[in-house]
Amino acid sequence: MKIRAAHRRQRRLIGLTPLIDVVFILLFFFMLASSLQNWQGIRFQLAGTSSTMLEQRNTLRYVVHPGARIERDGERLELAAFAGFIESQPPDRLLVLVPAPETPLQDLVSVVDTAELAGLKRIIFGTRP
Amino acid sequence: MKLELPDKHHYRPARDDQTLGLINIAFLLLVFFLMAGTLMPPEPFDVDTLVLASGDPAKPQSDLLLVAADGRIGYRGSVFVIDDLSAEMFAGLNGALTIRADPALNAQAMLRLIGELRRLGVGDIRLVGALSRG
Repeated sequence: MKIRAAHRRQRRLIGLTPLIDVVFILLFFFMLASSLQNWQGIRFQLAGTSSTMLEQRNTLRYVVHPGARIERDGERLELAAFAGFIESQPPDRLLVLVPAPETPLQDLVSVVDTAELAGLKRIIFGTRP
Repeated sequence: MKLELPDKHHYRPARDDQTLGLINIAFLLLVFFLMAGTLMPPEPFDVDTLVLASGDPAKPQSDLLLVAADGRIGYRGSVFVIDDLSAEMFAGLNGALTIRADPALNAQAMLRLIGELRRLGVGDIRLVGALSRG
């Protein structure tokens, strides 16, 4: 005598093949449309817009030239020397950075990064040397 | 009595069983991209990414102001020059205005733009860039 298991038909609600098609389409969409970049943000404050005008004595004022070279009173500094000088300053000093006419934004931002990493927290931007 | 048992060597998994592993991986990848990625609106022109080493973590908002190397401004899908900006454009702004500018943009032009935005009543301005790997 042969005993056969009753062949129970299973009903699937959603077929796997169309489901995986939809999942792959969604996957491709998110892969192409989304960015995995690690974004950072810095706040921009211009000189002369607040009480910073009153703090002349506690202010360091530098001109930023192309190549992230820094100038103060005719003396030019490289970024590493500038970082060393900033580290010796109290962190509450106000730094005013003035870009020279040909300076690209990336060079100005590199100087901001150097000053912030050296411990200075109050950085503003000026338009006149 | 003779019971028929399935032959081990001739057992083949159903086609759906083989697909399940694939769909699991596809779902995991989908969840990863949903969680880790940031959906960016299409940009009206190409803007290179500024590299930052300091600052606070920030995600570009949908109200992102793009600035090209030649000074063109992209905002909410349209392209402007600095003289076209008006206070009405930023009236519904919620929180800080996020700017993504090209690294080759002239720094003085950027400061002029920020001065103009302040004049139009935009008080809180944030410049975003990619965190440097160095």
